This record gives sequence, structure tokens and C-alpha cells, in this order.
Amino acid sequence: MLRIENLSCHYGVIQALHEVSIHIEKKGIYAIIGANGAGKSSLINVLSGLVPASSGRVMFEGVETTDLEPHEIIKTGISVCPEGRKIFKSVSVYENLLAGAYIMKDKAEIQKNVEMVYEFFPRLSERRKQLAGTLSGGEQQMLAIGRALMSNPKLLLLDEPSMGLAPNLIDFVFDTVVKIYEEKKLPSIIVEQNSEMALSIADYAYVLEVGHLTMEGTGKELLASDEVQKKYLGA
Amino acid sequence: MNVIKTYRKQIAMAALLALMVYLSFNSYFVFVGINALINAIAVMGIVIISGYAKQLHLGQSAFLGIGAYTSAILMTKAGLNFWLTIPVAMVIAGVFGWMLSIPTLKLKGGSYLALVTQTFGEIIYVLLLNLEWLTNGPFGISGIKAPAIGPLDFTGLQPYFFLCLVILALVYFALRRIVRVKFGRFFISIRESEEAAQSIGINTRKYKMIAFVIATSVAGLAGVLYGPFIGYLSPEQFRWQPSLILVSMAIVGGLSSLEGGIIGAVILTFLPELLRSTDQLRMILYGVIVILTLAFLPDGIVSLFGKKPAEMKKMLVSQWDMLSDKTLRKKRKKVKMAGKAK
Repeated sequence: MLRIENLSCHYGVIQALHEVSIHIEKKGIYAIIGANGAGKSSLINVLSGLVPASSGRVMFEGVETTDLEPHEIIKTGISVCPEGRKIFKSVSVYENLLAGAYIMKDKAEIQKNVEMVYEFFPRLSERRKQLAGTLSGGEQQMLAIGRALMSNPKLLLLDEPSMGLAPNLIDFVFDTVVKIYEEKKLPSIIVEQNSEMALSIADYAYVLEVGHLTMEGTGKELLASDEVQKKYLGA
Repeated sequence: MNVIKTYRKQIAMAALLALMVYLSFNSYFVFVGINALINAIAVMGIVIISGYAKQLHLGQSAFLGIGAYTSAILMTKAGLNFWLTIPVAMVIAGVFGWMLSIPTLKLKGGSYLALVTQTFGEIIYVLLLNLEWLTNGPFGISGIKAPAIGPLDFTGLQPYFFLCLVILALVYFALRRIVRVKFGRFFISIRESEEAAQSIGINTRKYKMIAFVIATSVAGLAGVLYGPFIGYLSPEQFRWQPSLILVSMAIVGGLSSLEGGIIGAVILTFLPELLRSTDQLRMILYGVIVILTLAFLPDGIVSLFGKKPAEMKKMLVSQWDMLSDKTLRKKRKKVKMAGKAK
């Protein structure tokens, strides 16, 4: 479904990604883990069109998305939940969700999607009229994920969903990602620093190290591997 | 009562303008009043680009200059009618605004954008100074006549004041419609989070360009009004200092509302004149007032509207706490106590 072929990207003279190739199938939860500066965010930024690729290409369902503008990416069916939540703070929870459906026309379907998001995140339903800026960090993350679901995406990209959250909320967010996959059959890619959490729910995972793809395997395999244990899980 | 509540900003504006009209029976205050109205039009442009779309724009007076020169050149050299120069000047100022928007689109706000917009203003100044065949360079353009419609002659300060007032009202309602009905939400989405706006499919580049074009063409219109008012144009009038004053007007009034822009422009245009008796002190007082509003009313004077005195007090107190680091100190104290408890 998503093919990343020999993708490289540069910030000036600094190369952030070295010929990364990743192949994502139509089903499953994928995780990309790595330390600070490994290129995780660069990868997401290239996928979402914020940073241009210097070589290689990205194909999504037969369409090349490498050179698309950020606002065009979502129309291909890739929905990005940006790092650090980035919700619209001065409007209500409900209006944030509506904004997520900006590219959709069918009002009935938009309402249906709002209800769907409320089912996944009952907390948002309780706070639907509240200004989004007054939500707690966890609720804001839920809202950001909910907003990304509003446009009926075919693939969900989650950039560091655990950032700055309390442990019990991290559990909840990851459980919900699994639930979303199970109920909607929506494949997702999670880019995470919290390797243990990401690997524990991932069907398949990749490890990035200073811009190179160094390991891949099922979530369980990587969790069990000595190298991952040593480098990322502090064992 | 409800009517008063919903339209309180407009009522406050009308009151201010009425005061100006009253004062305008004194010809000196009419002069200042016209200045305030022209500033208010340009400041509303800043509200669109810097308040709604959060793109700091420190070159607004250059676009006033573009509008003023376009109109003056067309009138004095080509003999064009004043009214016809308005759309031409707005389009040309808008085109320059569009050109300015291109290099700034990649700058994510902040100091770089401030530098680029300010420098762009200086480039316009240098052009006005050196394109002598067109602009007369440092000699400037003089003999710009006030317009007339049939028997209505706008020569003389009072008629011109009312002309500016009508145009201000037209611009206000047009911009109000633009932000409420058309682009406002897109601009606000850029302000809140450009990345999130892109992620849901909003073409932020396009809307930033639109915001720039609207803001600068409005400045062009203000510039057209400036020409016949002063009667003489020279490049120095459109350098960076007046740009900064326009921005401070927007900030004092309230950066994210059109009404705030008008209120800020009126107050800060009249203030130095009202303080004239204090002589040397007046620019210092002006600066102090700008700093105080920045410190205590970061959302401008309009943020006080519709608030009860108790709420106002609360707002100011919390702002004071923030400024005086009280909240921070309280936190530190707590941390210290927690440390001792261990």
C-alpha cells in the first residue's frame, strides 16, 4: 500500500535519511522506533510533505506522493497526526473535529465520523463544547488522533503520540490505536521514542539509527532481540 | 441591553469617531482626525495579516507609499481621475504584497519574517528615492489635488475628513465580511497551527498569500487617501518608523480584531497630540503606554470590552502575577517544600 523507496532527505548539507526503504501492507500496525536524531521525524515530515525528499520516492496505492504539497497529501488518503498534538486551541472540541473533515463534503458522513470519534474517545464527547486549549495533554492527544480520523483516511500516521503523557494515558492511547485498527481495519504507522510501548502493539517494526534503517521484524521479534533490548529498552 | 452587548465594539468605535467629529470643528484636530482615519485603514490590514494569520508584518507603510505614489503619479502625470486611481493603486500595492509573500512563505513567522518585511519596506523606499523619472526622487511629488464628485468638493479638511470616514466604514465592513464569511477561519487555522492546518488539507501557502494581498492592498487604499491630504509626497514618509507605529497601534487596540485596530489607531494618533503640552515627555509617555498595554493587556484594549470591573481586575492581576514571576516563585516554593518533606 505504501512503498518508500531509497528515500533520502537533507537539511542543508546534513543528511537526515540515508536511502530508507519501507514497505507497508494494507493491514497491520507498523512502528518506527529510534533514538533522538535517528530520523524518525524527518521520515514523517517527508511523508507528510513538509520536507522535500532529496532522492528516492514514496508511492501510496500506486500514486506518487513524493512531491505533493502537505495539504494535498491528505487527499490521497494519508492522514497525519502531527507531533506535539497541534490542535486548534481557540475553538471547541467539536469544531476541531469538523476541521478534520475539511476535505469532505457529505454532511451526514461527517456527523457519523464525529460520533465514531466520540465512541473511541468518550472523554471528548463529554467535553465536546469545551475550548480545545483547556483540555489536558492526554485529551488533546485524543483530539488530535480523532481529528486525523475524520477524513476517512486509508492510512494513519501518528507522530510520537506518547509525547508528554502520563503512563496510564499512554496505555489508553495505544490501546485505542489497536482498537481503531481492529474496528476500522485502518492500518497505521506509529513513530515513537517509547520503543517498548510501540513494539508491544506493532505487527511489524523498523529501527532507524542516524538516518539508516538498521533492523526490522515483527514487534515481538524486536522486543526479544538482544540488540534492541540493549539499545532501546535499557536492559 | 442585548443590542448593546452584541455591538459593544462598534458602539465604542462610533463613540470614538463621534468624539473625533466633535473635535473636528477645530481645524487642527480635523487634521489629526484624518491622520487617524488613514492610519486606521492601514492598521486593519495589519490586523488581517498579523492578527488573524499571525504573520508579523513590519513593512506596512511602504505599501501606503506604493498606493500614495501610484495615485499621485497617475493624477499629476497622466491626469487620471482620483477615483480611478483607487483600484489601480490597490491592485499595484496588492501585487507588491504578493511579491513580498513569496519569499516569506517558507519562514515560519518570527524574527526572520520581521526582518524580511521590514527590509522589503526599505527596498521600496530606495526605489521611490532612485526612480527619479517616475517618482521625482528626493524632490517628491507636490500639487496633489483633492477629489470631487459633481458638486461635492472634498477640498478642505472637513469634507475630506468625512470622505475618509466613509471609506474607513466601507473597508471595515468589507474586511469584516472577508474574515467572517470567507477567509477568516483559514487565517485563524494558520495562526493556531500551520502544521495542523496543512495536515487536514488546508492550503496554508495560498491563504497566507491571500492575507498578504488583502493587507497590502488595504494599505494601498490608505496611501491613496494620504496623498491629497498632505498634498506632497516624499520617500521619507514611508520608511520603517511609521510601519512600527502602525504595528504598535494594532497591538494596543487589539491585534486580532478589526475594531481593535481602529481603536488603537485613533488612540495612538491622538495621544501624542493630546500630550503635546508635556513637550519633551510626550514620546516617552507614548512609549510607556505602548509597553503598559503590551504588559497588561496583551490582547489589546478591546479585550476589556464587555467585562465587569471585577473581571478586569482579575485579568490585570493575573497578568501582573505572570510578569512579576509570582506564579513561578510559588512553584519554586512548592518544589522546595516538597524537597524538605523528603
